[in-house]
Amino acid sequence: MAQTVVKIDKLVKRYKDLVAVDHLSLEIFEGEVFGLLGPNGSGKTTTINCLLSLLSFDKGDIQIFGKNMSPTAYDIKKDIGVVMQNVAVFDQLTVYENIDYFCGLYIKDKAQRKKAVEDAIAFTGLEDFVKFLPKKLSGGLLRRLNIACGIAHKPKLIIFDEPTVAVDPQSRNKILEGIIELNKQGATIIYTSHYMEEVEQICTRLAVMDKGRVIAQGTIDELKTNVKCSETVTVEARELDEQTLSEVKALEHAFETSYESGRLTVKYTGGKHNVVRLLNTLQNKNIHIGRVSSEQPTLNTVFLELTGKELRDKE
Amino acid sequence: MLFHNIKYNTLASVREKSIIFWLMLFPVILATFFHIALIGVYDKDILFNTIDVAVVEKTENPNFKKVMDSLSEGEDKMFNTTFTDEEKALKMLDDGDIKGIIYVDPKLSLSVKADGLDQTIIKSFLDNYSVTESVIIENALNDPGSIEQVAAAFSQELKANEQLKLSDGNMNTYMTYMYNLIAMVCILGTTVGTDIARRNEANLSTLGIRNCVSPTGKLIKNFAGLISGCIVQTVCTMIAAVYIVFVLRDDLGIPFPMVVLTAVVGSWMGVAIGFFFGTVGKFSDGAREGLAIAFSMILCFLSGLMVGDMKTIMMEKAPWFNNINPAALVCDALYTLNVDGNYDRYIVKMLTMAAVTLVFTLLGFIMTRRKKYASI
Ligand SMILES: Nc1ncnc2c1ncn2[C@@H]1O[C@H](COP(=O)(O)OP(=O)(O)O)[C@@H](O)[C@H]1O
Ligand SMILES: [Mg+2]
Repeated sequence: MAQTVVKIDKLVKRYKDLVAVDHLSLEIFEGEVFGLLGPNGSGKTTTINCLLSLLSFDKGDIQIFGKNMSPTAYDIKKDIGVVMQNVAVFDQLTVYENIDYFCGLYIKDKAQRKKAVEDAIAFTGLEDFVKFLPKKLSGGLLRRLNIACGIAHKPKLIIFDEPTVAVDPQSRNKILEGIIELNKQGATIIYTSHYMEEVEQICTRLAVMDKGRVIAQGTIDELKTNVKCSETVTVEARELDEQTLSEVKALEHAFETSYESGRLTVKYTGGKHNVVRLLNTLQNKNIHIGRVSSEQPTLNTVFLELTGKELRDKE
Repeated sequence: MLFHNIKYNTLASVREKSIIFWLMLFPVILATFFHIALIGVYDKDILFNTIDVAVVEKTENPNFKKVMDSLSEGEDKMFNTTFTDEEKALKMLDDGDIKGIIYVDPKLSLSVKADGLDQTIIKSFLDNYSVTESVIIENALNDPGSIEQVAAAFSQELKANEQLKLSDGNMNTYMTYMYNLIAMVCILGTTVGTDIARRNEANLSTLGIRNCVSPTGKLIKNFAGLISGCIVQTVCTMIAAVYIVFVLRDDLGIPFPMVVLTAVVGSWMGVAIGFFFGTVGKFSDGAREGLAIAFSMILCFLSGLMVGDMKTIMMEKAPWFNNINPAALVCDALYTLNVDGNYDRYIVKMLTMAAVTLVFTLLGFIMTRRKKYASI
């Protein structure tokens, strides 16, 4: 097994009466792109802030690189890179100056730092904007600057807290590709998001959070195989009678059927050829069939089963 | 590391619009306003007392005599002139009856016994006269009556140039306003100070979060911030002082290096106060800056920046407050330098400023010492 990079043990953080993080335990290994998925307010940022020793917490243990994390654990901090949701740069400094300033908090040697800054600029594609002040940058470029400031010192562990919120799709893809690239170069990544598509796209393993708790943890495939619903078939069909519906309900593997405004939705726990069998049943009844679709489970399905609510509603 | 932090903190501050406005432009505008508004007041009031002089004519110079005569007439005449011989003149000078002897030989020269404002005025009058003599003669030839106007012009110009040169120990409104203005620049350093806290505290800004997750200690970052704040503030107070002394050409009644020393210590005090207040409480960027400016202005108001009498009222009603009001400290230090012959009171004021600076710096460091935040 790869080496443990982050170990969080029964972390509890309260804001007065609100339990923002509730006995959260995580273990993240070297080389992973670890996703922390959960709707807004589920406690992702609070967890990250505790992990970074920015926030005091009520209970729990946090170890990074096998050492106890604390605000003065500079030997740990020097190998961590942080990219927060809100852009954190000096408005009065240019792109180059900003990256150089933050990089200088980590790398003392001038020549080494210059190289690191230039690498970060090249990595984020900011070559043409080095002399720009942040307010002259478009939203996407500003995010890239924010990332460059966080990763210039070539950290071993990089934490991204919702780096794509309010970013256009094109920049979003660039950012996600960049994260994969950083991971390929050897960095362990923690990525928080409330967009399941992103997590599915880049994460090797993830924890699903809700109300401060981890409600599921594992690789994406593991999470999906654990859900009851493995396939959802939707058929447009008019005027289905009770008889037909009960026949559909009786089909093998079908565990939930609903029929609303001409749309029949059937959920299956498993099995193959579910679509064919359903369509045959309908055709035998001479029912006119419109559009048909079959969906594999998504992280949303996972979330829905575990919490009874949709993840994607929480934009 | 320290230098790296100082460099970028300083750069960020001097490019900050609110600092450019409040600490660089605003004082210059206000000084200009004071200059224009208060010179008139001064002109009418205390300004000119007539200067006693003797003229010893070794050669005749009727034009000069005419000019001197007309300057020695009227209600607000400039000179009280006695035309006499050298011996008598020297005796008068020895007895202190006159401030200087003007020799006409035919070149004009001046003999004085002491240095002072009056002597300077006589000297600059003579210099002026010599330079413009040919013009005066020509005028006199063409139109004998014009001598009067020439004399009036001299008198005017001398007043304009010299009116702000006050003899030692002579307090006046104008200078107190300028002292208060310098004090204001110092105290507005609180805006620079609050910014240091904002940049380095994770619960105050996203910038603070980024700074806090780095492996550079908070002590170093805050220390660097304070040094850079002091550099920026020194520049800002220098701009104001140089503008008042060298551009407006207003005499502050104090040697320039002393103005600088006082202002620099005062502005560091402003930075330290701002640093401390930046670490207490959580405000939005705009609110924080507004509060710092409002706070500074209240202190300056109580020290007499807007209404000169406020100072006197405070000294009577709350002397203890006046003794620690940072704005009043700067203002009083400058005032004391001007008025007192010795430096004792000045040193007390300067030490108080140093103490205030130290206390607020320490308090600021204590406030930022906590390593984790309960809430961000
Ligand atoms: N500074 C704070 N004071 C009080 N409550 C907070 C504070 N920050 C976050 N919370 C609350 O804690 C919960 C978790 O918030 P957060 O960690 O920001 O969630 P996420 O990052 O997943 O959106 C939310 O209910 C939020 O309202
Ligand atoms: Mg968040």
